[in-house]
Amino acid sequence: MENNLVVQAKDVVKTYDEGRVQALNGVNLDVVSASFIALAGPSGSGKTTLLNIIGALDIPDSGSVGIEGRNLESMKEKERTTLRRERIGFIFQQFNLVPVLTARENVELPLEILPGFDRAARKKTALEMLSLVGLEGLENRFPNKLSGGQQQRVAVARALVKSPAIILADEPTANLDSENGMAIVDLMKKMRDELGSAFILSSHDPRVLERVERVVQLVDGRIDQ
Amino acid sequence: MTAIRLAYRNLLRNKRRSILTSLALAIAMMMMVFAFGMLDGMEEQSIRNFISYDYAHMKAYLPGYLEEDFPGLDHAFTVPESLLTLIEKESNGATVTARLEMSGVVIHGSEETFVRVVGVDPKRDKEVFETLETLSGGVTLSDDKEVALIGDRLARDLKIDIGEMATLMVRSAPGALNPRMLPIAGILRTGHPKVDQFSVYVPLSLAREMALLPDGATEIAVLTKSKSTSPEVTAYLAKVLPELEWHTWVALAKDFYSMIRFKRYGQAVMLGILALMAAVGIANTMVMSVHERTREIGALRALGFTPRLISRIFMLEGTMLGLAAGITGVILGCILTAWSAIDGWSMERYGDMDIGVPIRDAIYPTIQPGSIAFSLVIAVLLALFASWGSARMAGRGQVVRALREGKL
Ligand SMILES: Nc1ncnc2c1ncn2[C@@H]1O[C@H](COP(=O)(O)OP(=O)(O)OP(=O)(O)O)[C@@H](O)[C@H]1O
Ligand SMILES: [Mg+2]
Repeated sequence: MENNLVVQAKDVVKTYDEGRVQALNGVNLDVVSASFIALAGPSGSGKTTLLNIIGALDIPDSGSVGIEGRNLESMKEKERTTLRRERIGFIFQQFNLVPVLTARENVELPLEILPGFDRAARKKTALEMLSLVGLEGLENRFPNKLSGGQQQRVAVARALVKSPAIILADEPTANLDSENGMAIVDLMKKMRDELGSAFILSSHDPRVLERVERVVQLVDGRIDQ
Repeated sequence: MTAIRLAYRNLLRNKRRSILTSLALAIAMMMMVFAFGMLDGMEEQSIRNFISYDYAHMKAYLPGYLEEDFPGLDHAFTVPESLLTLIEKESNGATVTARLEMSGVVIHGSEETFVRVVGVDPKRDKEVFETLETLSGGVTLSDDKEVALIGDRLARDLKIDIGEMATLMVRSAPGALNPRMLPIAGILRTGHPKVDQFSVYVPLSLAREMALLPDGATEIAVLTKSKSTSPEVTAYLAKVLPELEWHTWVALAKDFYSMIRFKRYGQAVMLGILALMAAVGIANTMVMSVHERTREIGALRALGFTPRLISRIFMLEGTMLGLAAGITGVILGCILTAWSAIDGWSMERYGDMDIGVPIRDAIYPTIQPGSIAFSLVIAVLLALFASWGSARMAGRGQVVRALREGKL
């Protein structure tokens, strides 16, 4: 069971403004592979902060975070970048697609910085991914010619194209209407089933929380048991 | 490759901004190509005139001749025909001639002017210089006629025409004034101001007679088969005939060369300042480009793009901007240069003023591959330099902050 953990956070503390803001106040969280969980909690409870730390974008003040058994604190910035490149996918609230790249090119992006994917392989993989998220035929559209829901689907494809161990999605439905939002959550779940990446979402939305397998409630930077 | 795609697509996305930004640099580059084209054209034509009418490929004098402000017959030396044949032989088929130059006065009616009187061997001189064949009217010198050729501007100043008599006054080597009435056989129009404005040419035999220096000459001029071999031939002749001072045309034109170098520096500095101002524009555009794409940068960093790769994307963008500006500028510069080479830059506007350039009519700018390459390199370097700061900023930003606040 132990080696099945993709995320293992212990006593994670994170403060801002020289300690005046306690964003995380000793968080413990274990996530096994292929989980589909959500961080919930009121605004300011530390959801984004925790996701950033798990995603190796930020470092905790104290405590430790293990990603697939490797400790983040002992990593240099460069190693964290490599870890993100290889093992972690991100889905953002504002989609954050590159506007000058087509849907397919956006999905190819993560593969361009990984070894072992030539042009043809990248293209093939990206097209497969786009059809998995239901965007067949829209490969050559630029993001501004796609609806919000479609853009977020591209983002899901982009996050998953490299088959990462973990996908982090900070409020992935907040910029979508509820119908599209739920469709995205269902899509992510379907992708988890097919690809086996662990998903960690954050959301306020009860209907999102209904759809995940486990809800981790954050209150004032702590996990509410 | 992604970086290239991102770079040019972003430039195209902000088409108007990209065009306006690169325009300033393009104009600077255009002016650079044109300015260097003018200087190159001027240099080329000047060298042609120097060689054809004044210096040949090399000249020999008595030591010290060139240091004199008004070198006189005290620096003349004896040049028997055998010496010229010897030089011909030693220089491997070059053509050789001797000239006897002295200062004098020409008088016609109430006009009189100081001139250089040049005694030339009509047969030999033609093999070395083009002077005697560049007539605008009349006939050229021949050995057995005591006549003179004068430059057209000099003729104008003296109000003299072909067939009229001029009094030529020189001081012989021993020092006596020696006036001579000579008919003007022809008028020279070479385009070299020194010839056209200040010179009278007479047969060498006559000049020697007037100077009382049989076999005398003040210089020997040599034209080698190829311009490029002249330094070696000069060095060799200097060894064979060490009692004379040998100079290549490059050495003889050293004042001209330092002037042109000075002009080149001047232009380069001016255009450099202009280009630098253009670079500030590029820097500004790149800062804007980075700022409006902060979230994109944050997202790319989250995807695992290294700071270095992010920086490279922006460096590339700036470089492309510079390259586009450079190419546009070079093309415009070539067009401008070609267009102004049709009629040339008229030197008439300077009148009879000596501006140190042996060109009288017009300068025809030329396009040199070197100045094109130089302009392109400068444009790209400036663009690199201009995007350096913002590219670094883009790479160094904090990912979390970039994603959260859209600020680096
Ligand atoms: N860069 C920062 N500087 C200062 N304070 C910060 C910073 N980032 C987060 N905080 C603070 O840390 C606390 C946790 O913020 P966080 O963004 O993690 O909350 P959240 O649960 O994601 O909230 P929301 O639901 O509104 O997104 C908040 O009090 C927030 O103001
Ligand atoms: Mg948040």
